[in-house]
Amino acid sequence: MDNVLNLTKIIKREHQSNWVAIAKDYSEVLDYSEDLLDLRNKIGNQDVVYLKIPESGRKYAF
Amino acid sequence: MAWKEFAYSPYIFNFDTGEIGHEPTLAVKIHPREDFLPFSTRMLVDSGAYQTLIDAKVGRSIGILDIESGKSTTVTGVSGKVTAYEHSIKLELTELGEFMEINALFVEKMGATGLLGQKDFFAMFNILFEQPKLKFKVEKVKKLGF
Repeated sequence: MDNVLNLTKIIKREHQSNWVAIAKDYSEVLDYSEDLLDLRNKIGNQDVVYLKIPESGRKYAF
Repeated sequence: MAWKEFAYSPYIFNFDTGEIGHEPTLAVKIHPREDFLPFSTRMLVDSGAYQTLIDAKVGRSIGILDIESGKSTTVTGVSGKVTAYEHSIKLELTELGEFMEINALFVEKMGATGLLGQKDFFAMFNILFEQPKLKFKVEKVKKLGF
């Protein structure tokens, strides 16, 4: 089985409800923004992983 | 493709209490329209989603500038209805080494980046959830590629 992907050490309270750009090796959050297009402009052509971080404590049922 | 096993990913569900949640996600790369950069992310493997859904902002960032030009449909969830717009996208499942060309639904202000749903993803893969063990398995059953 692949290693467990654990983002709990790099995702912080200030990231909730925002878009984050994470290093390709998942080692750190490079930048974050409320607006994805703004974040993509800041990151440029770096190879990163983008994620939308849900609001803390909110239960989703899709 | 033989069964491939993945771990549920832990995340901080509640920053006030420190409660940890776990979710089955897969790495995907959405290939863009001309002159735009690809979009790498992780999407939730969600058997409760009829079809793959993606936040509309992701669509705009890969070159689908007029999201509302897509075929519109109503998506009903437990908290109400939203309008979604369908667009064809090329999705690379990077951890599986597979490519899919699908019609995804784009929705404004989703609570997540994207959901891999039944009509496309689950129609092409066997999925075995083993949540008590915090792992899930994926096996391709239909020919893919683009």
